[in-house]
Amino acid sequence: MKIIDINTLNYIFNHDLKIKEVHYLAPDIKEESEVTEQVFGRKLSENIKNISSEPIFNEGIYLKNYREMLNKYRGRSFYNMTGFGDISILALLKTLKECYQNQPRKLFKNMEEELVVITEDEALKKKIEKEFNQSNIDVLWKVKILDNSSVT
Amino acid sequence: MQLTVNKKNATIIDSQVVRDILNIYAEEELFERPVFKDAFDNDSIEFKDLSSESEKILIPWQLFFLDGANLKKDLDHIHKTRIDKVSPKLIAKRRGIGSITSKRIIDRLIRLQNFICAIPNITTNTFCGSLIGKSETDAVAHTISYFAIDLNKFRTYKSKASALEYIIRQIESKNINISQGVLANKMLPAWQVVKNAIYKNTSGFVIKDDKIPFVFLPSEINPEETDGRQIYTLIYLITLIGLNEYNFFIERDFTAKAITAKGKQAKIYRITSDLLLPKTDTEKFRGQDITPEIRDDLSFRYKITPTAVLVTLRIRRIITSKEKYEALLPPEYVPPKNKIKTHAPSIETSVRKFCGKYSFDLVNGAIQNGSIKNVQAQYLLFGAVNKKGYKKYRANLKI
Repeated sequence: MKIIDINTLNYIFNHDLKIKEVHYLAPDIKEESEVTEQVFGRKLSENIKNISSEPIFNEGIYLKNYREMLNKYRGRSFYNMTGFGDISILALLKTLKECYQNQPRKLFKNMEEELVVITEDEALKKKIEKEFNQSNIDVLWKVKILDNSSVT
Repeated sequence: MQLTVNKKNATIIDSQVVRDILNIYAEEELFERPVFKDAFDNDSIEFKDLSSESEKILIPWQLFFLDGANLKKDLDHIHKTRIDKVSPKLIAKRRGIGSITSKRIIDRLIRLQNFICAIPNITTNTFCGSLIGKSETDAVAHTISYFAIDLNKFRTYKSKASALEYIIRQIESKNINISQGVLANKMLPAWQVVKNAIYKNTSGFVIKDDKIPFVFLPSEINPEETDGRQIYTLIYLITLIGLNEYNFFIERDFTAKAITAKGKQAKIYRITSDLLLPKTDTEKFRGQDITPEIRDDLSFRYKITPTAVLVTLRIRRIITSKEKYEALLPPEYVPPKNKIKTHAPSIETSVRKFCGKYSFDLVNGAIQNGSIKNVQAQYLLFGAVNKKGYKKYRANLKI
């Protein structure tokens, strides 16, 4: 499952990339993407989907994790209203892992057992590494980070 | 307090955090909003109710998710950023109106005023204090001449709304920023959200500044402030600037604290009345029986309210008895309900009206030359980050 951040989304728009594979947006990024669409005067590709519309997404678990990440990590500002996309991605990753552990497997049918975050944001990369890539042996979905060139 | 999604517990948010957030603009009594009242009563709130309510009160829902320590850090930071360059401010407002002034509005205008005053090469406004020591007649003459007010033109407008627009234009042309209450385009939380009394009690006021004084007129936030009343308020506030008479001190948390009144109210009213309804024009009625027709005719011609006409005539002893004065008082003004609006104003129109000419021009200039960041621009224009509104604003203005 591929998740993209706002900068990658802008990269896709800037380069007018035709997206063949499905990429997902975290809820706060989805909100931001509406502004991006307006700025570029184009609609998002159908292959860029809103994760919260998928059956595997559990909003209650997501909000619990959102609260945890919001209080745990710095780098977001209520004055500037920035950095919430990162919080949303971190909360989403944790939610998907929890959902994977607790929900019926049929919901995950045909989904890769790997969460790929495509981002070039160093601060976000560090947070993901800190949160998910420690020696957690119970991690079912591995979280991998790729740069923008891996958008396909 | 439980945060629920489809009535199922999702997480717990700190009730004290919710209280502290709702207290940021204490006078708005956001606690009284049914959604929050129910939340405290049931110790539970649905996420969709919280997020839709947050949109209405212009406070991001994410703020409610913070724990106590993080909220304190964030509020301290926001506060510091807002008041960093705030020097002590003085304001003045019309007497006899409510004691509450919207902290949110003062907060917004002081931020704009600080931004403008940090721009180099803005010269001192010579009108400030220029009426001190002048006789009332000279004060009226100086005000008319300084702002190049053509009284005949002003009086020939068919509507008081047009006359108000004219007088605003004249005053704005002389380095005074006139800001008006606007609810459209999320410039302020709608009146359905903030208790009516807050906005009704926010009558006109002026914020002192030697370069660009700020005048605030309630306009659409208070439907009882008719155009005629706003014309009177505007001239009254300009007189305050000319006399350097300020009766409130703005605390660092943007609350207004009364300072000793200097007992010059009567003089300020006399200058205002004489400018709008000159003594020479009312003398011919001395000894005459003032009728409702005369009252309304004077109100129409001189663009002030019928009540202001009567008060002026009573002060000038043209109406000599209290009984006669009371008999002539017009019925209480009832603002029209369900005013049909054909279309919502554009976002740039709302911003121009709320922020005032100088704020609008100078913030737009700063956006164009890149001297302010987009976030700062949004705070100045909208009082909060409003990304969608900001994109639309820039697109419409092509900046």
